[in-house]
Amino acid sequence: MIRHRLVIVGAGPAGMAAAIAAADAGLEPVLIDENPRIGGQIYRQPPATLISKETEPTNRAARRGAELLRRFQVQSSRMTVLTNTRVWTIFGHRQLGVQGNQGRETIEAEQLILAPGAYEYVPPFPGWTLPGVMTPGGAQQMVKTMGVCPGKRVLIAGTGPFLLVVAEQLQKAGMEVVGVVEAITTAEAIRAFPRLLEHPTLLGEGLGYLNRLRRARVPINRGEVVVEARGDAEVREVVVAKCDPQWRGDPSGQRTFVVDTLAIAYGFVPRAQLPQLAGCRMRFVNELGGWIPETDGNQQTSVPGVWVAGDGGGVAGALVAEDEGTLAGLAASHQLGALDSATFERAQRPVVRRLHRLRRFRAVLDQLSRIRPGLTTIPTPDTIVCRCEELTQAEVETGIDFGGTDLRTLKVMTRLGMGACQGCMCWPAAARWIAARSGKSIEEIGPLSVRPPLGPLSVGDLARQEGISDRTPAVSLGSSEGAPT
Amino acid sequence: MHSGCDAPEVRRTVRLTFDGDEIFGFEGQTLAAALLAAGRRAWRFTSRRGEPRGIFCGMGICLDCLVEVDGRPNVRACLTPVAEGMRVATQRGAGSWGAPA
Amino acid sequence: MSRLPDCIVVGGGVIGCAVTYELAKRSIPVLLVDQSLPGRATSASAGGLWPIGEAVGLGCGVIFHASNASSGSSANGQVHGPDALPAVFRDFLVRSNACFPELAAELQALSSIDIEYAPGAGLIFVIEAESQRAFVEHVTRSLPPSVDYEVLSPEAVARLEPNLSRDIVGGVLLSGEHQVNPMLLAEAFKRAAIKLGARFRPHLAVTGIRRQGDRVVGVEAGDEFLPGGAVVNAAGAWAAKLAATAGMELPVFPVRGQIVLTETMPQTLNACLSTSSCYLLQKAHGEVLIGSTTEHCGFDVGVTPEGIHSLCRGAVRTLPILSRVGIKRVWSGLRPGTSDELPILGPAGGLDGYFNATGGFRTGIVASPLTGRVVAEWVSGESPCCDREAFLADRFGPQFTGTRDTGSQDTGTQGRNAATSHNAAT
Repeated sequence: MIRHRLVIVGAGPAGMAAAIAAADAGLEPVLIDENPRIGGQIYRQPPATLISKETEPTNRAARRGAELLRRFQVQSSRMTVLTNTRVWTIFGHRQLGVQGNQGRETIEAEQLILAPGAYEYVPPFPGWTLPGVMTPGGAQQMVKTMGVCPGKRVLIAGTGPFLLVVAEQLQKAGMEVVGVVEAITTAEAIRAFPRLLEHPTLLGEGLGYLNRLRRARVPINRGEVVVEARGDAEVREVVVAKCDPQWRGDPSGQRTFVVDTLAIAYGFVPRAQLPQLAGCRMRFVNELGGWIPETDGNQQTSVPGVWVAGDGGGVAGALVAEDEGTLAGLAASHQLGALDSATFERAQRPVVRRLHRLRRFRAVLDQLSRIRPGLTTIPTPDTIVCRCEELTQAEVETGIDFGGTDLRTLKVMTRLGMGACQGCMCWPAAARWIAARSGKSIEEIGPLSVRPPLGPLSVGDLARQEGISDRTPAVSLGSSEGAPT
Repeated sequence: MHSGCDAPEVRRTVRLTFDGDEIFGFEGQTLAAALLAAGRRAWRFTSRRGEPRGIFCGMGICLDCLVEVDGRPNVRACLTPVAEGMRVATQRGAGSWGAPA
Repeated sequence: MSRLPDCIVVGGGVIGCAVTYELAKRSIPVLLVDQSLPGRATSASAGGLWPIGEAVGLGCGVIFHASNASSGSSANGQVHGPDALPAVFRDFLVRSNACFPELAAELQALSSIDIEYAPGAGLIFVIEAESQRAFVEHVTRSLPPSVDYEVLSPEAVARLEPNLSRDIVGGVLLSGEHQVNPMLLAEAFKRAAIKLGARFRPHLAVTGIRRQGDRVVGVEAGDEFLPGGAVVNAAGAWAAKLAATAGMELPVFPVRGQIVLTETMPQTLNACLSTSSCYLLQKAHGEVLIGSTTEHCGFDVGVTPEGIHSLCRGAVRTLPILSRVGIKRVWSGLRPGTSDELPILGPAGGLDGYFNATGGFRTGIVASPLTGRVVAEWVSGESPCCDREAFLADRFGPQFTGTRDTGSQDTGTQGRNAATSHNAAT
């Protein structure tokens, strides 16, 4: 077992910011990420062999990412960066089961900052399993990181400002973007506008996207939801309907788009598995994406020495993630005695102020894009609601009739959540559907029980002895790592 | 199709096979990207209904993009970098465990 | 025995459900109460139905391994393994195992649940080294003639199991030993019981057994009192805590077992496999289950690097193909252990209306049909269908007879894990 004073899991904006804060305080943090390069999802760095880094960042988000990477690089000699390395479980509260280039290791952290990020939420609808239906993030990664267009003609749908970002990127990459379908109505957006004015910079960015899309003649249709994707071997057309304020589709107000690609998601779900495995107390906050660990003002969870930052602790975007990461890094450094109280409070104050303002802005957006119960009415009895096990809604309904709404029984009876993804894709929507159907609250239903391993791990990986490892030398930002194990 | 955006001067071509046919990708690309560029949108048929699946989440969480690589099924195409000589095959159901490359 | 309104069965694992089913079959009004504590044994069971295997130490190889380590070899090189379990229990397990074909159909008809009872090729104990052969021969020689077994050459093993390592010296095939889905079995017992009139209260924590003098009068669940003339303690690893609330000592203790489940594979195993370091069986949906550890760590339901590592190492040695196979899930459960490995069933002398149905240790699943019946017979007062006295609690000594009267308001708490997070359900 290897012991480190500070370990940070996740090298997106939150993890990087935490590492920078800790390095600034004189510590030597260990930063672990499952991807080949740091940056997380939003600041994902393409493989250097594939996409040149010569071009200037084209928008504010990319510029912020570049700036964050630059600040990270300044401190890189203090950092130990383990890329292509996965934390597959947490033993006890702060012992990490790790699988990386050195094989299997157990790392014990005196202070542990979890910044696992989030993944996109796609509730089931008829035809959603057709090839060509994917998440906006998945489509974005294809063009941005891989230089490949995932299709020719795309409709983008769901909710949230991310749809606009993706629309622009897909269009610039050469895809025909037939439109963006946003569930929030124009009226609601307009009503929220005055509160968004409190943060004119961010609002300006958002309006910029809208403006550029308008100039590119990409229609944005508000107050609509996708009710069906049709096709045989792949998606050929998408049916969209007007929706009510609860996002329930109106069967009379439907129209059809002919596309070969549908990029659809309704916001993000925090990757709460690591905090759960660490034993953190969880709570459900719909506006922040679902189940998240309870935290105090310093990003400390209910488990002493375990902190969470970024979307993994509640989805609020990259800027909030960065500041939360800084807070967690400062606080953990303070705990470790690397920062005295006065310095800590001084460093913390502007971050807390900025976060407060950011969160107020985000709260408006998150409230607008909160998941609404009408989405649970879109699947039909024949719709597959568990992608892995190919279970239809009717089959899960039979399970509910059998066992009531006890989730463990439902799982055993129907195999919902027992497939390859272990509930990641089906469970958030299934829980909402069960809540809507039964009158139980989501809190009563509870989160999915999480068990290791997180991510791919083979029997052979665990059969091998633990590697005896010194710290991996810090990886420079320009190199591309070897293949993941 | 490969979009040319921001490509470096030299991209190294990687040759691999999919169901016996030669396809190519670029060094650093994932298998999913190479397959999509080669015009394939689905490379798996599900166990129960025999339905086609390709990429969905693109980040290794949904486990939809599974494909057989060098005799090993259940490989996430979206996370696996292409390698010269890789033998990729459509996965049907649980697939079959052949000899490694 | 006088009867108040209900028989209350505390604990909804496979044993509690089986007892409830048998009581409902007898038209005895029964209420099943379940708390669904994390780590209950039924949810962490492989579902192996190995009466002979378990009875003689060939089934759960861990027994063999552990005993091997502790007893060692004698001076003349002979290996001494564990003593076989008493014949009365071996026969009990064999008889219970024989119930499954009919039971599967019966439960399917009543509950519409398929318990995935899979008569496969049987159970193969893999003899990995010459040093194990002596023990195996010693064991097989002492089997009664009624037991169907076959000693296999390495070639014969390879024919039966092409994916097995070739680096073995042989095997023993017990062709009558199969597997089931333990969670569906419990669920099926429960649903069938409800169909026959049983009542069920989920998510209810029984905090104590209430007694008046030498009679049970019901159970307490926090502020709620549930009256009943009979109480069946099927609380598994937590049974001792429940018994303590009635002033009784019950020598049941938690024994943790960790399990590894692989991703879905095409048909890889035809039989269940048992080795000195793990057992391997392929479940109905194609996942291969690798089990299990034997740990005394209280009520901790975590998993450990050492535990998983040793299971995986053993699995890869036996089934090399597993080296590249992904792991879907790892978890653990708490077996209700007893010092002599026999269950604890039936009345505890002195407390009228109280019945034990616990201590299933490694054999709870295969023993469940007959255990349900035997306990129901005790509750109903009918004459027994088999030899059952060996399972009474008083075999451990007079202090386990439950004669201490702690008054009528004893509300000791049933065992509750310290889990404060939601990472609770299996």
